[in-house]
Amino acid sequence: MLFNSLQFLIFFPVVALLYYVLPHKVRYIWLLVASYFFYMCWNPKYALLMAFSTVSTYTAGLFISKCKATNWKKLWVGLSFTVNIAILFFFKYFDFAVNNINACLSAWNLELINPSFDVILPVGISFYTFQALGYTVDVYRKDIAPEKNLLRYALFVSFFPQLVAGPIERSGNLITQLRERHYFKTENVANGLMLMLWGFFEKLVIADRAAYIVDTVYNNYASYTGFAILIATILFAFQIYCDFASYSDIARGAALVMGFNLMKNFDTPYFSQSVSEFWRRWHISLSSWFRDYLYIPLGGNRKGRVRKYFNLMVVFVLSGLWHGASWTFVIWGGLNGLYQIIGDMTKKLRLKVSSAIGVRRGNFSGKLGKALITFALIDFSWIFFRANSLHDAVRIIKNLFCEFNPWIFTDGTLFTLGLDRADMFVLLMSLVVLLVVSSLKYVGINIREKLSEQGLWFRFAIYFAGLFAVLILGIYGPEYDASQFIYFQF
Amino acid sequence: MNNVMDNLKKIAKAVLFIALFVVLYTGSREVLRNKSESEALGKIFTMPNESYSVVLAGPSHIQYGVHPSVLKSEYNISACNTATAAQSMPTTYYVVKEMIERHSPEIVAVDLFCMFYPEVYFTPTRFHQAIDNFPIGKNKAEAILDLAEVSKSEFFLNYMLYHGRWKSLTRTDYTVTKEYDETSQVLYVTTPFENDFVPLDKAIKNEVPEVPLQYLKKIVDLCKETNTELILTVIPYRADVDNNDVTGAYQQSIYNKIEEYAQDWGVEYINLLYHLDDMGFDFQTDMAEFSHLNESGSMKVSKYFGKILKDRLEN
Repeated sequence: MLFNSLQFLIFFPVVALLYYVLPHKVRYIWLLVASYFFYMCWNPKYALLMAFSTVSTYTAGLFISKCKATNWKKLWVGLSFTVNIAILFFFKYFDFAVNNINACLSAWNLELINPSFDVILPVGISFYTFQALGYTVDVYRKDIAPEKNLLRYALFVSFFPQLVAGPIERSGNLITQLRERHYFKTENVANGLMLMLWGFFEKLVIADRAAYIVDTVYNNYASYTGFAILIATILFAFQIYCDFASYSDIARGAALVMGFNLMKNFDTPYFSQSVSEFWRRWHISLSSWFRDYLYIPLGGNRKGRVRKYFNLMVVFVLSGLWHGASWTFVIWGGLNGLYQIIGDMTKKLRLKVSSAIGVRRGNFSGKLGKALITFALIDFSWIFFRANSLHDAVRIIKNLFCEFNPWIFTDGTLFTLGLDRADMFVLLMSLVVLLVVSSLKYVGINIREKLSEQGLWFRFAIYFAGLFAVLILGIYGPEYDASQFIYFQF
Repeated sequence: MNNVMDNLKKIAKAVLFIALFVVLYTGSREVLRNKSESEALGKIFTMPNESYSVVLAGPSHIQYGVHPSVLKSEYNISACNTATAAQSMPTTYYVVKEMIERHSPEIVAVDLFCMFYPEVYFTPTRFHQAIDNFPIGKNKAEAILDLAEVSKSEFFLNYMLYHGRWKSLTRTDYTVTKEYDETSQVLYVTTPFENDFVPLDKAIKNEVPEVPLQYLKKIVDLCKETNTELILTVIPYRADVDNNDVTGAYQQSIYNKIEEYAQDWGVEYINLLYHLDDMGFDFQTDMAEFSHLNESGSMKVSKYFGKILKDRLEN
């Protein structure tokens, strides 16, 4: 069930309404039933996988808390990781592994492996697996007491707003809230709905509109060069941001309507002054998961520079692989790791050079310059993320630099890339709205709070403007290929 | 006390918000809605109950073939034309059902052109042209649930389909019209054909496809239940020309088979392809193209068919 589907528009109000109507004691069971129903709308069979992941990590949590010897605790953590990662590997990386093994075998003229089954990736498996594994470690570290109620724990793993595309919640945050009593608060409902509306705007008005140009160019890259590729690549940066951030916003909004506060997953990432800052602002729930459960256990930056760089590369290559079983994602992750290593290695030199030539880094232009450079680096890495294969990515980069063709802005070519003038205008205006909203967020202004202080007519005007912008300008309906949220595939 | 007042204020705001939303939603839906020639159907549905004694139903053949204004001026018959382009027989069944419940007409005349088509509708667009004009209610819901093969939601919520028209809106989209302009149902072009059309031998028959036959029978049963006289008809066209890979001869053989059914059911069957001389029909001057009548042809057919209707109403 997609957030941008009619089913969800019926499902969600019913779930939220009954949630408040039912006695507190059984509310979590209702949410659990609703969450499994939500998940089973994709494929009922895969709910078994989620149930298995739930039971295995729940059991591990109980044993970890009961064992006194650290080695036994470690054993249970290891067991929990092995089993769950094995399942994730099978469903997500099996084909990739077989293809790569076959590539090696064919190089040596050996017989190829030909598995007789076709593996389909269960939606959201990377998200709930990581969330459940995070819980195991949290119990091991005694950050949280193990949840004894299996059903409540099952709800933690399957909570429908964030089940299939995050945020990857921490047990300390979500399980605690699942135990609490939530009262109906109009503020929560209003704020939650606003957050959802903003999410729908990002997804339906911006991301899916930008997708027309991105898909046109990237799926036929041989026909495009120079600025056409540049425009598509820049737009992909906004497409993926709006696509993914929208899911998080709708998820957070839906949870807030029911009184739950999910963690923020994006914090104006394209305003970052460096690649490392970008990763503190982009997909925060995953970045912090890798930081807490991989980077720090590997030694983080405590074991010398070389080890720190090694750890960084491990984290980012694995983060790339987490996003997809393809070399394009590995390169994308590796590139982001490499940026940070080079950034760290050249930090002193860059500071020296900029002070020597009198560059002021703290003023607006200095910050803007750094943000633009960071955006350029990140956007370059998105080419690998979006390209259909490594070969395509290389050709796209070649085509990007092979021709200087500014005339596409004036000879009408711009409007042959997938959007006509009217849609292009809407896209540009929507990006301006995104920029304004992001700027206000960046300087610490809480827009929803500010809006709630305004008069009724003004608030209603803003609400209806947003609502009808989505209803009229959104890309949806029968001609719309119920284009899924990009992050569902991960 | 303060709490109660606060809660009342919140409820009032919520009600105001919902009311404003409904107004804006309805208004914008009306602007965005696709205004096509099938607009007439929507206007007919909004007429006061029991406005019509004759209901004409079916595809574009009868839409451009029989004019209620002629029936009114020549025979004082209050009639309406509920036809829409390529309206399939299953769709026609629901149109007729709605019209019988709404207007209790004495006669329903159904054009049989679409009987050759074996599916529930030609394309979703064609189904939209009819169903989008239905008033919200049981028949609309039944029709969608029964017939819609693609996403049913797009038929319940037209907004999903039409919101994309925002960039092609014109002045007319913002104009509110209560009456439909019947002249939009008239084709003023002429394509001359030789007067060499010979109807198929009535002995040549072919089985009628199952789906349209099933719904035609439902119309027959419905009319019997409601004491509504039913006339099955074929409006003239060049039925010797192939259309969408279907030969005109095949279509005529279907009509011949339906005549046999009509006799069994006790329903009147008037295939106007066999009345061309009586109408003074001239293929040189009366066709807009091979399938539809032009203004001249439709006047002749309207007058001729109107006379038949007048007779039936009087007897």
